[in-house]
Amino acid sequence: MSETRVCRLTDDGMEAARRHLKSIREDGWVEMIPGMLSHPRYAEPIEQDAYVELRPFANRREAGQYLGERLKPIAEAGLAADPAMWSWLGMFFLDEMHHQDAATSRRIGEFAEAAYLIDPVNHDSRDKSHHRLLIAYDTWMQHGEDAWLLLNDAVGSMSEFTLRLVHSHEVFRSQGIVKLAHLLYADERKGKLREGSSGINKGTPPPGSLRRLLAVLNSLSLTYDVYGMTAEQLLPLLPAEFDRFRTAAA
Amino acid sequence: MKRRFNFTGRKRIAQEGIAINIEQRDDGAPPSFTAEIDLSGLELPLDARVIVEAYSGRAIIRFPWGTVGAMRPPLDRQLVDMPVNPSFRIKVVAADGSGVLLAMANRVRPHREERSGSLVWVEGKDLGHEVWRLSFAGTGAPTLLVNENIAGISDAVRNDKAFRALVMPEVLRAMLVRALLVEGYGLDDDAGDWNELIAFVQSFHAETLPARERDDDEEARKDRVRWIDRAVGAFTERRFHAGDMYAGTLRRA
Repeated sequence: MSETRVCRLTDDGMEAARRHLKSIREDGWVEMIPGMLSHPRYAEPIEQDAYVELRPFANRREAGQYLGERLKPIAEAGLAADPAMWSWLGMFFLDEMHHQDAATSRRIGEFAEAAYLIDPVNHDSRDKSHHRLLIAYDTWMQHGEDAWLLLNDAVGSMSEFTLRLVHSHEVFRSQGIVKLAHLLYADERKGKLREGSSGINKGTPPPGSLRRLLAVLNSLSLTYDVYGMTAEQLLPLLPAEFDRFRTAAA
Repeated sequence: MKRRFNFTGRKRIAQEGIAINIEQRDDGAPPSFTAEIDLSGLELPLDARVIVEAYSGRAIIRFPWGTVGAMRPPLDRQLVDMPVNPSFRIKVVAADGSGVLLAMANRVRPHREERSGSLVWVEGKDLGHEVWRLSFAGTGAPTLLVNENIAGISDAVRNDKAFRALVMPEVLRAMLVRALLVEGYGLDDDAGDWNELIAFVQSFHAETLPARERDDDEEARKDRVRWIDRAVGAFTERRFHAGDMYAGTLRRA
C-alpha cells in the first residue's frame, strides 16, 4: 500500500473538511472532494519525514502504536500537538475508522467535527479530548498497557469511561490515576468494566463509581499531589465506599 | 461551595515570593517561562520535591523543579498546547513517597506589563455574539475577554468612559461573587488569593466585610450579598457615575 506524507490542513482544507462531515451527516457517506488531502490549497506537508498509509485499526491499541511509530519524527520536533495535523489525520483515516460501522450505514454523529477535526485557532483541551485518533495516540504514548481497557475499544468509539478519563488533562496525563481507574474498574478476566463502575445516569453518582473517584481525588488534591502519585500510592487513600472495587483490584 | 479542610498543616507559599515570566517566541514555537521561587522561611525539608504546574481550564503541564535544597528548573519549559494566559501552581511534596503536600501556592499569575493598575487582564478573543465575558480560567484569576471581532473594542475597554461605566461595575460584582460566595473568602483557607481584590474594594468602601464562619450560614451569606451590592454601588459612585454617562451616550446617539 502506498505511503502518504503527513500533512496539515490549511484554512481552506478545514472548511472543506467541515463541509464534508456535514454532507455525511445529512446525506450519508460521500466521497471527499478530489485533492482535499493533497492539493496545496487544502493541505501542506509537514516539514519532518513522516508517512502514513491507509489501513484499518482493530482498536485504539493498533492506532496508537501505529501513529506513535509513524509520527516519531514529528514528536521529536515537539510538534505532535499540531491541531491542523490531527485534523488532516482525522480526515485521512476517516473511512478506515468507519469500516467497522458498515452495518449501521457508517453514520457519524452530531459532534463529528470534534471527533475528527481540531480548529487550529479556537481550540482548547476540551476540543482535543474528543479527537478519536489523538485519544488513541495519547493513550498509547502516555499510558501504554496500563490503559488496556481504553486501548481495547474501537478507535471511533467514545464510552462514558473513556470520556471521563480523557476529559480533563489533569486526570488523563496522570499515569497513576488512569492506572488506578483500570485497577478498580476494569475486569481483566472478562475484558470489560466491573458492574457499578460507570455511574452514567445524571444525579448523585453511585458510591465507589468513577465519577465519585474523580470527585474524591479532587478533594484529596488539597492535601496530596494526587496527579503525580502512583496508583499504588493512591489506592490506600480512598475511603470505604471504594472497598468493593479495591478488593476486586487486589 | 463545600468547605475543604487542610488536615496536614500544608504551608502557604507567599505569592510575593514567586516571580513567573512567560517568554513569547518569534519562531512560532510555543511560549516558554521562567520561575523564581523563594521558599525561605517556610522551614521545609531540603529533600522535598518542588513541582511547578501551568494550567488553564482543563489543560495542565507539570514541571519537576528539583528539590527545596536544590531547585533545578527543567531545560524544556515550553507551554505546549496550553491556552494563552495560564496560571501556575507551586507544590512542595514530601520526599518520603507519601505524596503529601507540604506547601503550595495556587493561582500564581505570570508577570504581565499591561496588568499594572488593574485587577483584571484584558484579552481579545472570538466570542461569537458576546461583547465581553469574564474568565476565571477554570479556578480563578479573572481575565476580561472582549470580542476581538468588534473593531476598536480594546480601546473602548481602556478609554471609553460609557463602556467602562456599564461593564466594569459588573466585572467587579462578578469577581466579588466569585471570591465571597463561590470560593468562600475568609471561610476556606484555599480562597486566600483574593486579598488584592478585597484590599482594593476596602480602599473606597470602608464597611467591614461580614464574617462567615460556616458554609451553611445563610444569614451571613445574605449579609455578604448586600455588602457586594453596596461595594459595587460605591465603586460606581466614585469612578463612573454610570447612569449619567449612559444617558449621555443615548443623547449623543
